Amino acid sequence: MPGLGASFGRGAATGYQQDLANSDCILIMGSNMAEAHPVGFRWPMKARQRGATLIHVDPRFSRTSACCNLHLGIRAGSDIAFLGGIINYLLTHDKYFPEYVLHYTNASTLIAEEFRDTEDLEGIFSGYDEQQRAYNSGQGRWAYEDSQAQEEHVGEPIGETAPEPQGTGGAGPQRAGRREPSSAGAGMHGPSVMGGASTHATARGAPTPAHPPQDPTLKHPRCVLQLLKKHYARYTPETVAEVCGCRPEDVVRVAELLCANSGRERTSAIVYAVGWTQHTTGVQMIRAASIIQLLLGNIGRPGGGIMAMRGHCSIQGSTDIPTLYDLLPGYLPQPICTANHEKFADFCDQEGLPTGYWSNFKQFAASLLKAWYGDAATPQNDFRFEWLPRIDGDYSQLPFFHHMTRGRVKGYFLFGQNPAGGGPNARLHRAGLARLDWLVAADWFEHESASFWKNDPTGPRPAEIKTEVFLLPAASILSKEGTFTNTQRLLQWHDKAVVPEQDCRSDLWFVYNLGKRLKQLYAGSTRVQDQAIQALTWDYEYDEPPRLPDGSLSRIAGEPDAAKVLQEINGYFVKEVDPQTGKRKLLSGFTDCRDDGSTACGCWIYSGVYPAYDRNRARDRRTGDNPLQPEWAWAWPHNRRVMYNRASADPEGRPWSERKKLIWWDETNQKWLGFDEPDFPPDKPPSYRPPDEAQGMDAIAGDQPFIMKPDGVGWLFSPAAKDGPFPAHYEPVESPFGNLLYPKQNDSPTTRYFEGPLNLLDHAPSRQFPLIGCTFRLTEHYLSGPMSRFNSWLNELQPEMFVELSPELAAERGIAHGGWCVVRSARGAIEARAMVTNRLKPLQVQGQTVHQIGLPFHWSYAGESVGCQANDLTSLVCDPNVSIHEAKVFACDIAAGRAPGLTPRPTAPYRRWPTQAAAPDTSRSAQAEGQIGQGDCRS
Amino acid sequence: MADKDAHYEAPWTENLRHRPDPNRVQPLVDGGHAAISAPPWQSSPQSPPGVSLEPRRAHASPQSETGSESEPSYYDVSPLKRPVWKWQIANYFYFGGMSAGAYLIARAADRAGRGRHRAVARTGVWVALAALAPCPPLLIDDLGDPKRFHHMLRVFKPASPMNLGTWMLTGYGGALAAAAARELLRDFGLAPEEAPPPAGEAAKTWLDAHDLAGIPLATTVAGYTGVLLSCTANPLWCKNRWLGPLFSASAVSTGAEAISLALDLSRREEREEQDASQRVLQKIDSAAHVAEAVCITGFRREAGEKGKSLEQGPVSKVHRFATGALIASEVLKRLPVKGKWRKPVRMLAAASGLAAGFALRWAMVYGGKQAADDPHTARLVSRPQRGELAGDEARSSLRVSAASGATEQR
Amino acid sequence: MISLPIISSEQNQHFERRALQDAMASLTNAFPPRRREVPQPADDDQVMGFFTDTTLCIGCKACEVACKQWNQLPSDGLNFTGYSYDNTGRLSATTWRHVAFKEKIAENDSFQSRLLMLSDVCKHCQSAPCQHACPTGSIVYNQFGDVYVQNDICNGCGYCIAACPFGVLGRADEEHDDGHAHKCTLCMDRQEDGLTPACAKSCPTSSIQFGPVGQLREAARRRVEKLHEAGHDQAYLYGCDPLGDYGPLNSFFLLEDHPNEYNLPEAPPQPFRGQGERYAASLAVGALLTGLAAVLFARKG
Ligand SMILES: Nc1nc2c(c(=O)[nH]1)N[C@H]1C(S)=C(S)[C@@H](COP(=O)(O)OP(=O)(O)OC[C@H]3O[C@@H](n4cnc5c(=O)[nH]c(N)nc54)[C@H](O)[C@@H]3O)O[C@H]1N2
Ligand SMILES: Nc1nc2c(c(=O)[nH]1)N[C@H]1C(S)=C(S)[C@@H](COP(=O)(O)OP(=O)(O)OC[C@H]3O[C@@H](n4cnc5c(=O)[nH]c(N)nc54)[C@H](O)[C@@H]3O)O[C@H]1N2
Ligand code: SF4
Ligand code: SF4
Ligand code: SF4
Ligand code: SF4
Ligand code: SF4
Ligand SMILES: [Mo]
Repeated sequence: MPGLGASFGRGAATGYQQDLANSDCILIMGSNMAEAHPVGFRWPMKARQRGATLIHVDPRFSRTSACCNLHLGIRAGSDIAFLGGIINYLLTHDKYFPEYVLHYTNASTLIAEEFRDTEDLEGIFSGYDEQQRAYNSGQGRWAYEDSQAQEEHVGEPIGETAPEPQGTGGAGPQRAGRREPSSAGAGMHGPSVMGGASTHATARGAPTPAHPPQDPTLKHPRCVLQLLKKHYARYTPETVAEVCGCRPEDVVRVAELLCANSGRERTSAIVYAVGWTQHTTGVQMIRAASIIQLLLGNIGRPGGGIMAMRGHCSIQGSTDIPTLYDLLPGYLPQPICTANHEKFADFCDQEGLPTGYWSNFKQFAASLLKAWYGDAATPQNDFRFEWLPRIDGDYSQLPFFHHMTRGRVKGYFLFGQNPAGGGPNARLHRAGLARLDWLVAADWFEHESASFWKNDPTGPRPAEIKTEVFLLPAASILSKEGTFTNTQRLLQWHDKAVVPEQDCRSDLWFVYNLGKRLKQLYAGSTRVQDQAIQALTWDYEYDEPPRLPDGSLSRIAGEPDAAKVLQEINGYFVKEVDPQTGKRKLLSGFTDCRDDGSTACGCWIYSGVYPAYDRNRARDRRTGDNPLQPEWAWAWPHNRRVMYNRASADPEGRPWSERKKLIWWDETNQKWLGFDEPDFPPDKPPSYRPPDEAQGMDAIAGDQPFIMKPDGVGWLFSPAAKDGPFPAHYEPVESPFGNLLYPKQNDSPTTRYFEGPLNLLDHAPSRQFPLIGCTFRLTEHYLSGPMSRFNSWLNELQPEMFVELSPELAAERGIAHGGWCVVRSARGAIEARAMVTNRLKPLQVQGQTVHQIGLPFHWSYAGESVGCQANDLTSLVCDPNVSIHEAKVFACDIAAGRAPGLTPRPTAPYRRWPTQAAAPDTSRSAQAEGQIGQGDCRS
Repeated sequence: MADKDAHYEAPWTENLRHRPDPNRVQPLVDGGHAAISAPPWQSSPQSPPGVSLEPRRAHASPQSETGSESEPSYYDVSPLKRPVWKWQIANYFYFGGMSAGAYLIARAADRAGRGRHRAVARTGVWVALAALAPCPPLLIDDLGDPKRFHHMLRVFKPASPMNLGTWMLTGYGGALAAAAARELLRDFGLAPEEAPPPAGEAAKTWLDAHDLAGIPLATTVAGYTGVLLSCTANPLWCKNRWLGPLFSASAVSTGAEAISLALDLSRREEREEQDASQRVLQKIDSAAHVAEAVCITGFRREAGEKGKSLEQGPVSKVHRFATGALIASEVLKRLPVKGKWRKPVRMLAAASGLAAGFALRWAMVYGGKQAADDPHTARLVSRPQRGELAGDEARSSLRVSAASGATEQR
Repeated sequence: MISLPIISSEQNQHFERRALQDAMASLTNAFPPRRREVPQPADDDQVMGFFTDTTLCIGCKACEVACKQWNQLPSDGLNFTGYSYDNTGRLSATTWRHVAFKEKIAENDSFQSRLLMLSDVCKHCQSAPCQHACPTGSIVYNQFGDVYVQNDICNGCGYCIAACPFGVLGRADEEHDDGHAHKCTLCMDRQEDGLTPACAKSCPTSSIQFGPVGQLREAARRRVEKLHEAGHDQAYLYGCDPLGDYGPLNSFFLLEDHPNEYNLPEAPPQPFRGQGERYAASLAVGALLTGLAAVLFARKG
């Protein structure tokens, strides 16, 4: 996501999955789409049926590889080198899309003279602060020429004095950590990378000019294209092959295929998922893909784009209306205590932008505060901006658990998450849970996180754990209503079919009633800090008692009306009245948002989903001739299915080609027309040129498709990511190799470490653990497994934890196919079955043979099918942008045999029938010779 | 059926089919969508661009190219199911055959012997009855759902050997019961055909009719079990023309041996008449054994490699025992013993023959199980004969490339 | 209500409330259900079948699970087989769809590696040996032309299991389950209600296509042609046309490798062919020996 935001302006997949069927070539890399997104994979298969070329680049040969025209095996974590090789090929062979690159990207923009590339500084960019292990992009002048320099804020570290002992984590070698956590300021998502408003590109005082100095000939040595060329000059096929463990021809082959399938007539798409994101360099891998797609002119066009295959059914929703500590809904930043965020106006000045769509920042932020604090928020009192908590450190999950292991956290709510199984370095996560005073887990199952105190074979005895665990029964999906926001930004409403069983309640019920009790608790308080809770609008009661689809009344008391929540998210006019219902009139879209207190909007990007009380567009299920199916649910923003679709037409507004047309400028109507909602001011002609002093959207010319960016173009050079304006190859934290491209800098210089006895690392180049381990998903199981490992229909399909390894490695270590083996890393050891298969191949990297092994991370100790868990091996390290871990690469070793004492025992008995329901009734009997009266003859 | 038609006609649009939304209130009023039926990128095929791609092929790995055992296969899973029949079926095949054989011999003795071989006729019927007695329980017990045994007679379906067999067995059971009743009457001196006319006449006609039905029924019962086995996809049995005759012959031989043994057991003293009967029985037995030997040779020849399972595993012992016991029985019969040893040796010969028949059924039934379990043998049954398949050339070339490309796991 | 294919004692407890119905059922069960005429489809456009295109299968096993769920089949236990991603191994009485995985990995050129995936199912043979064999008439061709095991009639004799040349049928455990033969019903209950079979419905890539076999066969031939044009000259149809001796299958496949790689028989035998001859031979030997016996008995000696 952040990689996409930094490049294009919004942190979300640029298109929609069905559009993959229109691609001429699809590069699937860092994703196991056929296995992890099987239903979405019908569209790549459709493309393949129509003659498109599918390429899978992955360390392992998986079901996805089998479905693609070609599979290329590379070393895990070497993706930037590979993609850099493609960029190098495009640039040295002049294979990019010249008109697109010139007009729609910042290729021609000149960069500040003081900026230094990794080529100049042997692996780091200018502005690096070794103490903080972070860049100061302001100091490093990651900026357009002419913009003024200003200090970049870097957050204060959380009170980090003497290292305290980590929790009661159980067995494992005790070794003192080498590095303690670094700056806490790094790691915050920052609105810029997520596609939010502010940018690190330039000083706040004098932001990126909408029309910075440019060289349209692309010859100037400091123009972005030339810098890019220089940056990737050494990423030749030969070098890349050395790094990745493939053949030089393979790199060229993939590059050629992408080139041959891009341009005016053809488009290629790139699909990625957590095979890219879960790296300390993950954001930069996505950045590299963005650069390729911009150079090839594939963004904003049918069959093009970058599809981020997100995971959980509403994970996109949970960044839009974030479950993140540093973002407010709609990618507005959470104010920070160290920045000039005292006053609302300063905050908006700092984080908003004078040009581009983010010039409306203040409207959105004001409407949000109005939605939260209601009548208490007025323009006069800054909408009670001071009530918003200020960030004083990194509270994202992984650092938070790090603090938990040190006993700094008292209590924890877990709504539908299982860090004891799914968290990287899960043993550390469990040790953290074990140091809590209390833990509330709302879940469908008694999962690992709720049963860690009694069932964890690696943990201490139950008597030694003081945590009080409350397991609340959560309602299943069928017994609650609401929306999911899927990977293509589509909000789909689902109704409640039945009432929750017994004491189960929806998550909304829990949160709503918790909120009500908190309000009760603080109702009489006169303390300033409680005013926010007192003023919080918290009224989602049903107008009439809720009914089920069959007309019966629900027996659940206190259930809030999810539709009302969505209405508040959509936003409303505070004063205007809807003539039909007599209620407050709903906003028709985010263009209605005002900063004068007349509108309230819970999440501006979702505005328009509920334009009238009888019109929940997330509930639309209509299909028609338009292949984008705009009446099937609703996509943010404003039901645009392909973002930046202005780029599907040439600068003059004509489609690049008849075959790939999407929207175009209609001269007669003076409007943008086409199949999709234009992601552009609908009547701004292509010929529009902003006057010199233009502000806001007026500063965006008629041929600048990336309206979220202050200069309206896609960013090849993007100062928004915290680890560099260009992607550079760094080795994973645990890698058996040194960095061939930048020998002085092995790992990414901004990686954040949390070393300690529970989180030992084997830094690159790793010697103790010579193998590369990578984790992956199986179709048959879901994440850390609570949702699948209690189900015998799924368990029979993948009954045991296994490790995939090559026959060569198996022979070397004497491991038999189907037999047991033990995998070790610096964090611990697990046992698993050996799946000896040619699908994994030893690679030749830098003249050495290296073996990779693959581990599914679905097993753990709770459920009907249990096994050792891969996440007991993975480490806790964080990338600087989003605090993501590196579960996809770690150093390990493998041996034949078992690990006594680590084998978990099932916590649920094996049940042949996972559901106790009778066979589904159909209206007629399935009896061929008539109804004989023993429809259910049971013997 | 609209559902599936749509699915079939345009699989890709299936999930896009309109579902009425009960809560829909007002129609959409969205401007901006051009009224164009289908965008060009929807319909135009993605023709391959300049860069060509070879399709993936069955691929030959260097080391497996020469190995003859690199036969294409799916791990070591047999493509066939092991027959579920158990010991009950082997025993039924044995007893059912023996009963029919004994009956046939008894009737032959009765009709052709002109009173000389009464003992054979009488004992034969009782032997047949005794041998038939365990059959229904055995058959029922082998069913997956024994209380539904009567479903066998729900239809008359001669195409199914098992159905036909069940009807035949039932009919034969009736014939046998009638024969036994007659023997019983006769034992009490009430032989119906000796009754004064016209009752005697009628009884004679009835007896003719009885045999006219009973003998064919018994002949069928004697051999249908072999045909039943041959009407399966099991490698050992499938379409083998010799199985039916083999079981028929074995039925006759075991019938003869059983009668012989019964005669010897029931009479203390040797009688001239009985000795003659025993000699005839032994001749019949030998003739049946010869037929068996011919059949088994034919069977083995026809089965070829598929018959291997008779020589493998535990079945091989049973099979060897069957052969051995058969030969032993013939040898014993021909031993020039005299006097008081004659009877025991004769009994031993009969017992040995009976054991041979018993072992033969077990070897056949369990050999079939073994054959279905062996993946290689199980594949053999579906090896095409030359020119058997329509697209033979295409497929045979495929076979070659695939065979050489098999990289087996495990 | 439809027939519950397999009921365990475990599940039976769940139905205790319906004990009365149970009693009624076993009463009626005491009499063999009589036979009725099943209307037969007139031509190929009324016969419903499957075309399973292995080149479109992504091995997701949705079909396998959908089948279990719809038909309430039990799980087969937790057995790690090591057969690539296949842990159920084969079709059985309790697994009516089975996804096979066969790895064919190139030694040197990683571009050439393949993983064969096929969703196996009953072939619904046009001339089905299992149907021929069934002594109770439990197996019939239903109104959709599909081979259907009537669960209230089957008595578990096991003949069909030995007769099926594809190893499809299995017998449920007698001790714990009903002891009857079971296999794919081609979702007859769903078809009767105008629904697509559960497996086809859940297949995300339309690897399983359901429809009138006449049309399916045409579509399949077109698909092979297209694949050949694209250079996939190994693609061929299995069971679309007669397989030698064996009649065409109403559930047929598009394969890209030798049938045995998918555990399919190359040329399935039609065991009932020549049945008459074999009867004749058997009767002849029986008659001959009886005749011989008669001759011997007749001789004075
Ligand atoms: N059945 C199923 N579906 C799921 C899930 C599930 O658990 N089960 N989880 C859902 C969730 S939450 C998510 S986030 C998505 C994730 O979806 P995916 O990202 O597709 O899932 P993974 O299998 O974890 O990883 C993808 C691939 O990345 C490869 N890989 C590992 N390291 C590298 C590397 O360095 N470079 C490259 N190029 N590839 C690498 C792995 O071999 C693997 O094949 O799936 C979602 N869908
Ligand atoms: N090694 C390794 N580790 C990984 C990954 C990897 O690729 N490799 N992937 C990572 C990724 S991408 C992700 S997303 C995480 C996932 O890790 P988690 O977020 O921990 O996901 P789950 O294990 O699925 O846990 C979700 C829990 O929510 C419960 N649940 C489901 N629905 C509801 C509901 O409606 N309400 C409530 N209250 N509970 C519900 C389920 O029962 C389950 O226990 O794992 C991460 N961990
Ligand atoms: S589990 Fe749900 S979201 Fe995931 S692929 Fe299947 S249908 Fe789609
Ligand atoms: S495949 Fe087997 S079970 Fe299915 S119809 Fe054919 S013979 Fe019968
Ligand atoms: S087991 Fe059932 S279905 Fe199979 S042949 Fe016997 S009665 Fe028919
Ligand atoms: S048609 Fe129905 S019974 Fe047959 S495999 Fe598909 S889901 Fe199972
Ligand atoms: S559902 Fe379709 S794609 Fe998935 S395994 Fe079955 S046949 Fe293959
Ligand atoms: Mo995820």
